[in-house]
Amino acid sequence: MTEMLVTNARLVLADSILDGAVGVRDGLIRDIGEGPSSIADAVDFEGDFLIPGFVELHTDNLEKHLQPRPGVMWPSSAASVVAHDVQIAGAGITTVFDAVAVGEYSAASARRQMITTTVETVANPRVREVLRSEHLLHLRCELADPAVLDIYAPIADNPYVKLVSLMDHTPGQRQWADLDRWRQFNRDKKWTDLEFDQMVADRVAAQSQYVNRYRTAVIELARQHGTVLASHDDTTPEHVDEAMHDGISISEFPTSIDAAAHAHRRGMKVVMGAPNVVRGGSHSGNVSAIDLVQQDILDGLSSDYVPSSLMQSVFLLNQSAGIDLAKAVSFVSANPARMVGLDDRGAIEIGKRADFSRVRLIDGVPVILSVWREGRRVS
Amino acid sequence: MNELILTGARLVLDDAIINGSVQIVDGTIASIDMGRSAVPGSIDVAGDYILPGLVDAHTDHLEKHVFLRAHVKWDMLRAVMAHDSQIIGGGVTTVFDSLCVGATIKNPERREILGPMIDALEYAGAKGMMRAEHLVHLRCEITDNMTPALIAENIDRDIVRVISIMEHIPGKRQSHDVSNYLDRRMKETGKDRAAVEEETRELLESLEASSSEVRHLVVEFAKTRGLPMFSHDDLTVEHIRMAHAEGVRVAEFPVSIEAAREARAQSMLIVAGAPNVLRGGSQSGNVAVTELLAEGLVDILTSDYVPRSMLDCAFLLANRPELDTDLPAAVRMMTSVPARVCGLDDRGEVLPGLRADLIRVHLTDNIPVIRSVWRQGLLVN
Repeated sequence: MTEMLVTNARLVLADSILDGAVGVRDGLIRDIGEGPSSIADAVDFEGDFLIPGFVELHTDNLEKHLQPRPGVMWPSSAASVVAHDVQIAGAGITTVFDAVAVGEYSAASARRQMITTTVETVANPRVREVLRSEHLLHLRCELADPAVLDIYAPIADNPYVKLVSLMDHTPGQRQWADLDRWRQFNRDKKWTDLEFDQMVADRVAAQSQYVNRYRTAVIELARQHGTVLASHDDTTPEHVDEAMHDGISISEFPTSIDAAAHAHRRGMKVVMGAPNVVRGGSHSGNVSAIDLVQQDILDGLSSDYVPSSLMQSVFLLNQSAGIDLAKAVSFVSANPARMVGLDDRGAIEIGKRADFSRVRLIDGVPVILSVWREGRRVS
Repeated sequence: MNELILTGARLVLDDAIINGSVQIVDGTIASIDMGRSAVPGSIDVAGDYILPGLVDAHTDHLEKHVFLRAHVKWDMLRAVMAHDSQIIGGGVTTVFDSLCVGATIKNPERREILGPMIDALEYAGAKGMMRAEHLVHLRCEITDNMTPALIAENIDRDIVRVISIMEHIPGKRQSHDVSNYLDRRMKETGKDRAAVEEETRELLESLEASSSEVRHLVVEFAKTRGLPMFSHDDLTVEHIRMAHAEGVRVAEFPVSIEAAREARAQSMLIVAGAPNVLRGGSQSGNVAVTELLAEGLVDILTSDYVPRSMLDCAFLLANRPELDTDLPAAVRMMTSVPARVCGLDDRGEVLPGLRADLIRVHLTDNIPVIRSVWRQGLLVN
């Protein structure tokens, strides 16, 4: 039985802020009280914030560790996962869905091998034992890729695969509705006009050949295994309606305000990228997350490609957009936890997991001093 | 008095591993002994290793947080903090962030970000926002005429501690095979081989024309401030001799075994990259660091572009008896040796009187997992 008492903290509760103390036993929150505690062994937060551990639904960060430079595959996937985990825990994330691209138009053997190895490593009990955050898997299924089902089917029943998203990055629609922007984003590839046109034509052909077929098959498999589904880059109300019809509950990174508003109205959960909040807009020229927050149609934020962006976005929303701190925190904790059915965590509440961070504001910038998961200090 | 005792540890000392305890008082290592501590409140590390906090003489990693994706630039202070969290997670308590001074052909934006990166490092350090101690290693690109002006703007800042001299010219040093460059340019420009060769010849002439003058100025700046100088990517015996004649005492990432042997003959210290060891060779097809190690031609290991690679490398080397580098020897290459070369004599060993910068490492299936990191006695990770 482990016991811990935190005192003198600014507790960020589900809908308010309380100056007080938190008692932890056996990895769970047992007591929450107002005012300081006089118990001698208490951990004194000196007035710093105590913020629930974040639940991150979509990070691409693991792939950066598996491949630290273009063309450089790291020799040990376990070492990569451990290094990624350190970064995740240090960002205040105590539950993370590592997003693994299934397909992506380059299902060459190296990438396929990377997917298999990644899933095995994250599921390996010896590795899980030493990880700081709890790692789950989010499979990003590229529906226009002919290999998508071959890769997904053998791992669909992996117990750590808890989220599957359906994506279609064919240029000319969704995230890349604007072809010029897509070309600009890929400018390092230095396509000639001819190559560019050919590339677009090939991708559009693949889309018409594969997307519908694989969409149905992937959804069916996910349902069989009770895996939560997300729809990626919804751009039109029709995309949302299609997703609703298919029983998809999360609209991840909608690219237009129309799609986001429609999803929200129809009861889907709308998740946007925290880097979009921090940068004040989308890097691909799509809808701004802050606009969605201000229209009250946002439910969650995900760190996407910058783990530290979650904490930054929470305080930016509070300081620059006037969003209540408890509400801003709910976008990255209680709300995403509920979206994936993890009801045991995501809030500073009696009976929930003792997952939290100690955060100090220094000149308005949030600095994470320490992180606990299930009552154990992990960063 | 603030006291902390770690007991039940495998303490990695400068030349031995002992089972014992370490006592920390007010941020400094106060004593080491072979037994178990019976003092109440001692932390039992259950047989885990206690190593000195690592000292990384060269990481390029900050730039990755500034440019998170191609063409997506991040706020500088936030980039610095995110970088710091990864650094400390690699067991590094003192890091020399290697920042490019001057542009290469591929990265013109490097001129603009240098000052703001150093500003952010100083600010975050002064405000207590960082877990590791960050110092700056200026990587001075001598092919850029702007380099002397950029050094002049920054050299007097206290955080700047190391100067390295780099020369990135297609066909020289790290990229001594020019054919890759020509192929790439042909694809990029659509021109034929003859045209690209001609254009490249002109480019090389202009780069070389300025580089010897800039090189001279860089050396003068370093000498005036008394900073250690590293020579980067030496390929030939002449590269080493030229550097040595200029007063350079460290060869960083020599790309051939001949250059490394000459550096040793000149009593220069040799820096190598841990990623090269772990990957079993160089990304750009140059000498494998294990070959250098086998001849005793490595003194310092750095993380280069993968923050946690040093720790992995230390334990890998300890399991490769043919390289004659046991764990204390490997750890020295990433702690006391770089600390001393870079002018820090208050850290780098588990030794009474030194800073209590310590890391606790647990081995799982031979993978070193960092359990805790203390910087000056404070638990920071």
